[in-house]
Amino acid sequence: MLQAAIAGLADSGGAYAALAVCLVLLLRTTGVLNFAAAATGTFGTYVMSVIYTSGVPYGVAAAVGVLVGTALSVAFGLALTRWFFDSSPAHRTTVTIALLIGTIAVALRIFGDFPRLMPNLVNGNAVRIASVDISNTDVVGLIFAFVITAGVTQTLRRTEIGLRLRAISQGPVASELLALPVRSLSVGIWALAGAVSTVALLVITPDRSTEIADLSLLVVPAMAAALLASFRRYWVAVVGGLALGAAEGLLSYVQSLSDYQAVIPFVVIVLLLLYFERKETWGDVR
Amino acid sequence: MFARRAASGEIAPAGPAAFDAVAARGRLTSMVLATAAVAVGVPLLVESFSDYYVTLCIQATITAIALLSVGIVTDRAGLLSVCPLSFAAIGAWAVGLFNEHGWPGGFFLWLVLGGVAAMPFGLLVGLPALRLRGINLAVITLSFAVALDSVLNHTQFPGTETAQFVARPGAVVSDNSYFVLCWGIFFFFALVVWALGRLPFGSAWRALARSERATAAMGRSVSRTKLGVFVLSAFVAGISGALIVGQVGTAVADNFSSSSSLLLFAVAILVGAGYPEGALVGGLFSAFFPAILTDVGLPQDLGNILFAVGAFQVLSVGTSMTGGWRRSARRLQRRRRARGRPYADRVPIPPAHDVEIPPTDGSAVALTLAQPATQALSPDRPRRPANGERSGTPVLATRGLTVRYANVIALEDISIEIAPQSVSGLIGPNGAGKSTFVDAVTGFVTGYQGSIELDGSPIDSLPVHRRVRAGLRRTFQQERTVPALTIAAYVRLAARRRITREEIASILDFLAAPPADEPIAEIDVGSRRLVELAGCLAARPRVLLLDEPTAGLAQAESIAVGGRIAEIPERYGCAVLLIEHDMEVVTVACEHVTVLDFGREIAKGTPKEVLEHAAVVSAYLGDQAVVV
Repeated sequence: MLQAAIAGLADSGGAYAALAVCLVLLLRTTGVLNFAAAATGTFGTYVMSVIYTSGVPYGVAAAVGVLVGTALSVAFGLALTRWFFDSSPAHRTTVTIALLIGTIAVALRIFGDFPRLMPNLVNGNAVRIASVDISNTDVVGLIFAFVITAGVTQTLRRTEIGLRLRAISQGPVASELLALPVRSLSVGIWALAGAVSTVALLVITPDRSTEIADLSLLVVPAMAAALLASFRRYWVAVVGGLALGAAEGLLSYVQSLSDYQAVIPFVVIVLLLLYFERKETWGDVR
Repeated sequence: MFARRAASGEIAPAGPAAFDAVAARGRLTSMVLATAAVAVGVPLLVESFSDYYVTLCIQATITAIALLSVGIVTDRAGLLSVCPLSFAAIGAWAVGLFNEHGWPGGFFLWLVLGGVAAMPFGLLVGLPALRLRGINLAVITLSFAVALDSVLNHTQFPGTETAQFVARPGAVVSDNSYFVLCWGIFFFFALVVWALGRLPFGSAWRALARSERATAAMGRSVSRTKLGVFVLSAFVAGISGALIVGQVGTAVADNFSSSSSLLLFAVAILVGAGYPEGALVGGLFSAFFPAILTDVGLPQDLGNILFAVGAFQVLSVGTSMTGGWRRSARRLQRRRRARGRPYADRVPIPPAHDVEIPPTDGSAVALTLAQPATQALSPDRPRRPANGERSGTPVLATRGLTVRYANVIALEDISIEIAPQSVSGLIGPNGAGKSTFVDAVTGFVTGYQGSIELDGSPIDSLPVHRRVRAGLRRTFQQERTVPALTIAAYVRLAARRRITREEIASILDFLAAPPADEPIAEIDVGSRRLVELAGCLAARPRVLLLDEPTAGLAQAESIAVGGRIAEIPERYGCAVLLIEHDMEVVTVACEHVTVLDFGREIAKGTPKEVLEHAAVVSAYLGDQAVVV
C-alpha cells in the first residue's frame, strides 16, 4: 500500500504540483484561472513526439516542444492582456475555457487522435523505495516541481521583479499608473507557465493514456491542489499536488476502484469548497 | 393613497402612455401569433424532410434543450457551469435503469424522472459553489465532468448486455413523431424560460449576474436563487439526456464526455443560449455544421475549432449572436416608434413644493459654497413635527455599534435612533464610516459589536436578505440596477410583492424617472439611481438607507431629488436615512443630521445647527480653517 502511494506520488504528484504552482502564480499576478494550463503543455508534448518520431534526438525534440508550449502560452497571455485586460476574473477565466476547447480542437486536427510514442524524459530507474522502483523521470519531475516552487517563491520575495509582480497582483491598474510594465510582466508569467506546463506533461505522459483531451484535463487535479492552497500559498499547492498523486496511487492499489482515479479531485474540490466557504462572503466591491 | 398629483406644471403622460399601451398590446398579439406559427409550422416543415434530415433535426432540438440549460446558468445568472452533458448523462442513465428494471410508467414518465434524477446532482455541484461566484463553480463543474467521465467509461449503459434497449412508445415510434415530441419539449422549456424571465423569480437570476450584493439587498436569498438556477438547469439537461436515449435506444459514455460538455459550453457562449432562439440556433449549428462540413469534404472537427474561435470572439466583443440580434431589433423598433409620435423625453423634474430651506449663514455658507436662490418652494403644507417631538419607539436604532477591520476602527460606539416617518441625514468627510454604517446595519458587514434594532426588535442574527424582508432597504454608492431588465421588471423584482402597472408608473412619476418599459441598459447613470430608489420605494420598507443617491446627477436635479426624498415619509410611510455629500441636498431633505468623522459621532442636530458646529467645520475644512 505504501508502495502504491509512493508510486503515485512520484508518478503524477510532481507534475500536479508544478501545474498547481503555475495556476496559483497566474491567478495571483494576472487574475486568470488558466483552464488551458495543461492544454498548452499537451500541445508542446505532442510537438515533441512528432519531431522525435521523425528521428530527431529526444533532447532536441523536447526542447522544441517546450519552446512551442511556451510560445502558445505567450500567445494566450498576449490575447488576454490585449483584449481582456479590464475584464472581470470570471470573464477572463471563461476566455481560458474557450482557449482550452480551441487548443484541444486544433491539436486533434493537427495530431489526430491515435496513440503516440511518448518516451521517458530520462531513462532508467533511480532508486528503489519499499520495493517500488522510482524512475529517473519521476525523480526529475519531483525535483523540477521543487525547483520551480522555490524559484517562484524566492523571486517573489527577494527580487525587484518579484516586488513588481506582487504590486501587480495587488492592483494591476494602480501598478500600471506607477509605470510598471504590467502587460509585459504578465506575458512573462504566461511564458513561464507554458514552459513549466510542457515539462510537467513531458514527465507525466509516458505513464498514461496519451489522449489529447484527457491530458489537457489534467488541469483539474492541479486545480484541486491549488484550491487546497486557497490559490495563495505555493508550498501548500505543492504538497496538495503530491498528496493527490499519492491518493491516486493508493486508489490504483484497490483493484475495484483503480478505474476511478479521476473522481478524487472532484471529491477533494467539493470538500474543500464546502469547508472554505461555510461563511457568507460578499465577493464584489462595495 | 397614490393619488395622481394634479398640480400645474406636473408631468401628464396620459397621452403617450395610452399610445404605448395600445402599441404594446399590438406588439404582444403579433408576438403571440408569430410564436404560435413557429410552434406549429416547424413540425409541419420537418414532416417533408428526408429521414436523414429528420434525424439531424431531432439532434438539433435535443442539443438546443441542453443549451437552454447552460444558458439559464451562464447567460442569465452569470455563473460558469461547464458540465451540461454530465447532467444529461445522469438523465440518460436513469432512463436506462428504469428500462432495465421494467419500472412502471413507461417512457414519458421516465423522461421526466430522468430530469428529476439529475436535480440532486445539480444541488451537489451547486452547494459548494454557493458563496463565491464564477470561478469556483467552473472548477467544480469541470471536475465533476471529468470524474463522471471516468465512471461512465467503466460502466456499461444499463441493459446493453442483455440487449434491453429503450423502446419508444407507439405515439412517438416514428422519427417524425419523435421530432414533434422533442420540439414540443424544447418549446415548453423556451416558454418557461421566457415567462420566468418576466417574473421576479427569473429576473432575480439577472440580478445575480449583475451583483450578489444588490440581489441580497432586494431581499432575495443569494444561495437559494443560485440553487434554484442550478437545479432547474440540471433538470432541463437531464431531460435532454433522456431524449438522447429515446432517439437511439441506448447511449455511450462518449455522448456525454467532458470535452463534449466544454464544446457545448463554447456554443452556448457563441449563440447566447440564455435566449430560446439562441439555444435553437446553437442546436442547429451543432447538428448541421459537422454534417455540412462532411458534405463538402472537409473534416468534421473543423466545426469545433470554429465554435471555440466564435466563443472567443463573442467574449472579446461582449455580445453573443442573439444578444446582437436583439439589440438591433430593439433599435429598429425604437426608430419606428419614434417616427410614430413626438418623442417625450425626460421632463425636467418639478421643484418639490413642501420643503423649507433654513436660512444659512456663517460657517454653513462656507460649507455649502454658493447657495443658489432656493427654488420656488410653496410653504402650503404644514411642516412635520421635528424629530424630538415624535413619540413612540424609533423605527431603527443602533446601540454602541462598533466595526473593526483588523486594527482600524471603522465605526466606534455609534448610537443612532431614527424616528418613524422622518428623514435623517448621516454626513461626514470621506472615510468617516458612513457606508460602513449602512453595510453593518444591512448585514453586509458582520462581526460588529453593539446591536441594531428594527421596530424595537434586534436583527443582529439575521442575514442580509432577512433584514431586507423585515423592512430595511438600501441603495449603493454605485448604482446596482440590472441592465438586462426593463425598468418595470426591475421595480417588480425589487418590490417583492404584487404591484400594479399603475403603482409602478406612479412611483416613477414621483421620482421623474424614465418610463416603465424602457430597458435599463438604455438609460443614463443618474436615471438608474432613480430607478434603484423607485425599486426600494415599491417594496414599502420601514426604513430606507440611501447611500449618496444624487451622485451622478446634475446639481439642479440633485436638489429636486432631495425635495422628493423629503416627501418620501409622508407618501410611502417609511423613514429615510440619507448619506450625502451635497450639503444643499441634506439641508433640503433632512430634519435631523448626525455627523461622523473617523468612525466617531462628532455632532448631532438640525442641519443648521450641525453645519455651524465647530467640530464639523474643522472635520470638513481642517483645523486651520478660520470660520468668520
